Amino acid sequence: MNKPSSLESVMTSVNRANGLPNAHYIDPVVFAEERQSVLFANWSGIGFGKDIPEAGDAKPVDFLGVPLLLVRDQDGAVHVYQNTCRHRGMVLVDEPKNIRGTIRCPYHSWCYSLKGKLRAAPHVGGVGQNTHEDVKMDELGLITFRSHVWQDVIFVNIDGNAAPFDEVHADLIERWQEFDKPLYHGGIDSSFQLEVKTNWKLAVENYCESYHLPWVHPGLNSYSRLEDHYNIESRGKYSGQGTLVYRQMQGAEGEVFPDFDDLSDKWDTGGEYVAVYPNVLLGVQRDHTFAIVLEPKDCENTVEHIEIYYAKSGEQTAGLDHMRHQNAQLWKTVFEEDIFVVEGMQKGRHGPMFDGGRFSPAMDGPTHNFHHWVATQIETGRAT
Amino acid sequence: MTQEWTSEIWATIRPEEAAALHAAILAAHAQHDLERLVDLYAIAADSKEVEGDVDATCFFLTQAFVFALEAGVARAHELNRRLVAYGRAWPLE
Ligand code: FES
Ligand SMILES: [Fe+2]
Repeated sequence: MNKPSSLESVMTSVNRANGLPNAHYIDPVVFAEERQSVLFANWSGIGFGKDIPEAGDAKPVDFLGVPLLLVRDQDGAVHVYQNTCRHRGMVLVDEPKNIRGTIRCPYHSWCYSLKGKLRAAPHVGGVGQNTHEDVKMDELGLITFRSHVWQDVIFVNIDGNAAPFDEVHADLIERWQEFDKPLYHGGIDSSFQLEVKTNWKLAVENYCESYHLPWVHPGLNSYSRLEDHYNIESRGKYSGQGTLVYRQMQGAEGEVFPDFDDLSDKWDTGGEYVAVYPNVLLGVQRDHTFAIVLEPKDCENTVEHIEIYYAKSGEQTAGLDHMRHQNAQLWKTVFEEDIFVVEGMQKGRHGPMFDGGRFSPAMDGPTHNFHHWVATQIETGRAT
Repeated sequence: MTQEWTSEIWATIRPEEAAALHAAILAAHAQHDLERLVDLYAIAADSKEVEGDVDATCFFLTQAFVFALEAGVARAHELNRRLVAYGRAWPLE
């Protein structure tokens, strides 16, 4: 392996900085390093509460090769376990299902409660003998990862060393506390996935900035001009963009989605779109929110998991099904319009003379803010 | 399998009946019918208990107990108590 490239030129001010070097997008060795220093060392999104709505729901998730199990227990709490039996390491659950009683390993039937405790180790002391003095049940519960649910996204800190989620994201939670309300998922067509041939970071970078809007989303911009957007940048924390001219969708009869309760005036025509580092993209508006979890498949492939939420449930607003459908189509079109740029930037990074690029000091602050954060995580990882 | 299995009928199992029980257990496994597995293994346990074969009893009790736990049915507690009485399991909380 070559000596890791210095990230000094990334860490300087946006006016002079270069973007992250090519290796951070195309080199599997650097990908492995970022897996640890960036994705495992921080709070990464791995799924949604809506994927396990009922008590006993369990869903296996592969996160960068780590087998995880999302579980909702009888009290409604979400747990993220290592999906690996404490006996011989069998994968416990191989497809989404509802667990009525305990999680039973399909190999030798060790049974774990929804809260992760080992409840039975059948025949462990010999046939018909379910105890053994050297097999301590209370030491053999499921391995639990620290997890946190916010805006219905399930975040996990794999290495266990990050500061608490509430602390890391205190500013953003405060900024958006008006949206800390029950969210109602829009239903089947408010959920879609896009497979994109790009490094996951390029999806973050494209999401953060409004510079591309008039070129890539001319439709969006016909009613939302560039100057109606502002940068959101918090060094070391998060970044994104906001709009001052969000317009609610209206049906043929003038019907609209109900607003979230008690919003301040700012949100009458405001919308904000923020990257929650490392891999979650959120958007909030007066009448709906969305969440995107970027699932890095490998260095050059990413799956975007997109979910749209509303202030009231589908049952409460049954007459708005057609609009939920239309809104989902609208967002899907926007996100699909971005595919060619994130895939094109990925291809461009195979040009050996590309130096990470120069930023627009006025427009690219949010992107640079993300690079600065990534570089900081990598440097921290190298220092330890 | 139309016959209703009950503990009484199967308290002592004749060889041809044991074969039927075995077949029923295999069918329940194939159908992932947890409640039925609990019932059938408990029947097998009862019959072995009558014979005084403690190891076999506890083997079948264990099988029944595990599927009862998986299914989340209250009977798990009763089966667990029986195993505990034989010194063969930790009490459930
Ligand atoms: S590997 Fe899970 S019980 Fe043996
Ligand atoms: Fe875009």
